[in-house]
Amino acid sequence: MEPTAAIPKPAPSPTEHSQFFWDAAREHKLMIQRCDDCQRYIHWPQLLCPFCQSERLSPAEMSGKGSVYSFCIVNHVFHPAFAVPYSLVLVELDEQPGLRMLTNIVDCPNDAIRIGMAVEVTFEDGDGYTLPQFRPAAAEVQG
Amino acid sequence: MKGGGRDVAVVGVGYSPVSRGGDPAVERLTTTACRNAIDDAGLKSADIDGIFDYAFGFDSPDTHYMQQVLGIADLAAYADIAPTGPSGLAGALAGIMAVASGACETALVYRAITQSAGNTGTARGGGANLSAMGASMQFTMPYGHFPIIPTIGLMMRRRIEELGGSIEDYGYISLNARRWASMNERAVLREPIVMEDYLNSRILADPLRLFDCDYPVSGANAVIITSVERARDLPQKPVIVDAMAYGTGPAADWLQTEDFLFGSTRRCADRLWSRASVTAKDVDVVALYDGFTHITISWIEALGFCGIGEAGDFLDKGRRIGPGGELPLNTHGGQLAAGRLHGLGHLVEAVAQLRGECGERQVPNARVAVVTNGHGPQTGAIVLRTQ
Ligand SMILES: [Zn+2]
Repeated sequence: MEPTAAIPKPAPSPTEHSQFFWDAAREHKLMIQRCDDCQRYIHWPQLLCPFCQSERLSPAEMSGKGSVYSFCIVNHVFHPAFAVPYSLVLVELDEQPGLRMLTNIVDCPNDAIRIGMAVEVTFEDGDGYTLPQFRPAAAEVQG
Repeated sequence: MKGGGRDVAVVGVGYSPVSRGGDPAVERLTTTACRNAIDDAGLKSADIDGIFDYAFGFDSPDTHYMQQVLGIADLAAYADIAPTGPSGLAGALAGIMAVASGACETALVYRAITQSAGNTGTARGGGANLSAMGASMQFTMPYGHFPIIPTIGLMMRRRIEELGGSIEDYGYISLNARRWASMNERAVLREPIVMEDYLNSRILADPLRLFDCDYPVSGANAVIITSVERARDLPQKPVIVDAMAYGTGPAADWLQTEDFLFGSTRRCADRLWSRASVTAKDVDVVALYDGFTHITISWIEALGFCGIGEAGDFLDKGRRIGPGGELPLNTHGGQLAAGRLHGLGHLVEAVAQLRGECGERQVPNARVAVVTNGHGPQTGAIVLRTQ
């Protein structure tokens, strides 16, 4: 099914402590909140470090490398702006076990997506905002 | 009850008619279920001094509404419980705690839901708000993720990969529901299905299929909870609350939780057994949440009926959980086949089994039951037993 152009995709609605993530995406950088004290990464962004309760949290630039933790292929129209089928993927970022982001996999047929496959961030400029997305890592594409 | 407080029993259960289609008034469904539960307990509404319900926002009448309808002069304890709770069981857990503590003597608990408020697979809500799920939506909805069907699809795929499960494991949960439902006149999907039907059902979020999902309906259930002491004077055979537990796990979020496959079911189950006077081996019948088949499989393993990742073998093509099996599961048909009554239907069925009132689907000599609700960061469970 083709997307309905008249109905836009839901745009991100940043909060005070998530604004950095979307500002960075606009500059084609993947930034994730990190605790200055225990050095652990935190996603979704929080007001306090959930690991040590520190208030000293800063955005940290990520390598953008990760692997597919799980995925599903959506065939049901939940929202008219999304053409089915499309992938929904949990990517585990290389920097920390269990640090997961939800994304789509782009530049890759849905039936080629595998759990464990190496992926890297790419950026999709949209109407007023930029979405971090993931695609097969360069090495994965070569073979 | 171990862990503190008075001993508590469930002394009444009530049902409304359950329907698919149409738009019945949710306040009438609620009132019918509540009055039936009060009658079943041999009580009058004036005997009720506590009311607890679970709701998604304003999808059903609140405690004040029902207090007025029932003409109750004053409530000693009450709460309208928000969506973070473990579905309809949240009201029962609150009612148990209120009676156990002495905050009230006799609690009415209900969950009423209409088909339009069920998860019918369309996008609603969203935007920034201060619920954990609302706050995370900025990172999910722009990608086309709308709770909660894709989340479960992600869990199913990961389970198959990590634990070596198969899609048929889920199918046997779906088939089991229809099999039991054929013996329950209140169930809505009473035609048995075979594995091919399951596998050919519409794919929503591959590998998740339509028959992995519960069936939205309009209906209500209610229960009456009081002290064991008071229960002695009431007409029904009391069903004793042996233990209860909640769970959330860390990073209380469906996608970011540390235990993605099981959510907080394992923590909740461990806490439950640590408080119970019985063990998994003593259980005669189970009512395990089945908003999705993945949830039921998680609970079977979390509760220790088999090892982690062993549910496929354990189910034995459904024989173990079906009529005559050693772990009869969701004997009313569950939400997959008796309709999405949002958790309280599981408690009502377990009580009916322990009272021996289930007719054709009665589990012989049922004395101990486990009821669970929820997954992800919102779990709750109860062990019930006869006296
Ligand atoms: Zn920290």
